[in-house]
Amino acid sequence: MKFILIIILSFTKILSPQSKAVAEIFLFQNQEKSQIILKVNLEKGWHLYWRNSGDAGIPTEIKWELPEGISISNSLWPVPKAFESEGLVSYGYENEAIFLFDFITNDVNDISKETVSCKINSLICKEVCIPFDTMIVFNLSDIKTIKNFSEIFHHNEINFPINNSSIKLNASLQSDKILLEVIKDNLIENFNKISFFPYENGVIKNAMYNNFVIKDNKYLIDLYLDQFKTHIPPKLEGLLILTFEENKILNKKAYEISVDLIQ
Amino acid sequence: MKTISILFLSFLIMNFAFAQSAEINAKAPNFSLKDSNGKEHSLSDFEGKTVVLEWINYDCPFVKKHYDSGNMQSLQEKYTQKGVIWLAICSSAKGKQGHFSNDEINKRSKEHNAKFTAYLIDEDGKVGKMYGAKTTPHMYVINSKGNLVYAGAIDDIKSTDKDDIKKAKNYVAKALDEVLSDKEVTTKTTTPYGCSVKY
Repeated sequence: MKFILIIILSFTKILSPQSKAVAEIFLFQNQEKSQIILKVNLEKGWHLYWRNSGDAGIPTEIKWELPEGISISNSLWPVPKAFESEGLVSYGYENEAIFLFDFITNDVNDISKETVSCKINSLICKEVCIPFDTMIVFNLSDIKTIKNFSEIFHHNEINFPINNSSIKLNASLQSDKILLEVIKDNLIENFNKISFFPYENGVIKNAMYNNFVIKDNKYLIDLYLDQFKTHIPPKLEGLLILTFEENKILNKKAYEISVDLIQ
Repeated sequence: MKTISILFLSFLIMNFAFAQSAEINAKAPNFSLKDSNGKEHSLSDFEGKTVVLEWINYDCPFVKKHYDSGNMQSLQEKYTQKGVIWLAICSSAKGKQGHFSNDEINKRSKEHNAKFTAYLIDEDGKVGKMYGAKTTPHMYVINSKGNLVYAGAIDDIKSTDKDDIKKAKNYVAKALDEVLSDKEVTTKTTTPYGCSVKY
């Protein structure tokens, strides 16, 4: 029986040359699962980029070098924040970021002494940008184990997108935009704003929020095409994010979507 | 009355000019900017020539990658020798990263042995926004008919690592080679990478 291990960032602390960012690896274990965690601590006000960096920066890339008998089955990226400046919108994580990885191995004890390396290629920015290229090398047996995310994460909870949700939607190409139709059923109500953060850059104009109207039982969301769109993909993939207010605090609920684009 | 009409017409023309936005395979919008020596250049001055627009910020690590390695200067030298006009444009606002005095620009350009035709200053960002410039570098190629035929990244490896340059596919060189051979540009748009333009 395969042992599923999910890894979150970091036991070994790696400082960037400018010490604006520190990467760490941890092991997360509870009764249900084990995971590896990669965590990046940033100096206040600095951010690093999401898998789609948006109008500036470069996408964060995380590459693993794994011993035989171990593989990554899944990686989880938390819902990013949009940063807007003079009409340019980029996506990323401010102050701290946490990434989860599911590892599969036949027997965790067999590989506990094996060396694993995690290479991060990214860019961190505030008013200026600095490359953030780091490699963390560790043994699974040496990773600090945590039982609760709050031990290492300063926010109340990590906001991961909802996968495989039952929301129904359609996407169709129009002259200068993609019209995304989302059936209201199975979506939360009373939200204030809708955003769509695409996985692929260069197709849709990056935006903090997208215009929408309600028609019958649907939300009709306008996703304008980029001024220099590179191509029209067969599928629209990304995060549909609903922003709502709860106890005077703005919260976000994100759904991972993948829908055929009708052309 | 006549004077008012002329002024109003001029106002409309100016607004139209700045309301234009660049589009692939369409006439590249005209602009006028001063260079780092105080000389004014208009895109229309280069009618009949192939023109490269390169958005620049000497302090951006992605720009440093291409200048510290000599990659950008090699491209500038190779293609200006073939008659291409190469305009580096800085849209950094006053007080923002990449905005320098003319003396500092000229000093840095000399240190880098830059081979562009001119370094243009767009500190109000109007030209950058008209062209939809997002990053430094962000590259554009205009053919001899005045049409914008390429907009996007300098190459296909999104990094600050100089060692990646020799492994990368250079989109600007490819577009220029095609334009100079009277061929259609095969890759017209790519997604640029780099620091945000500091408008």
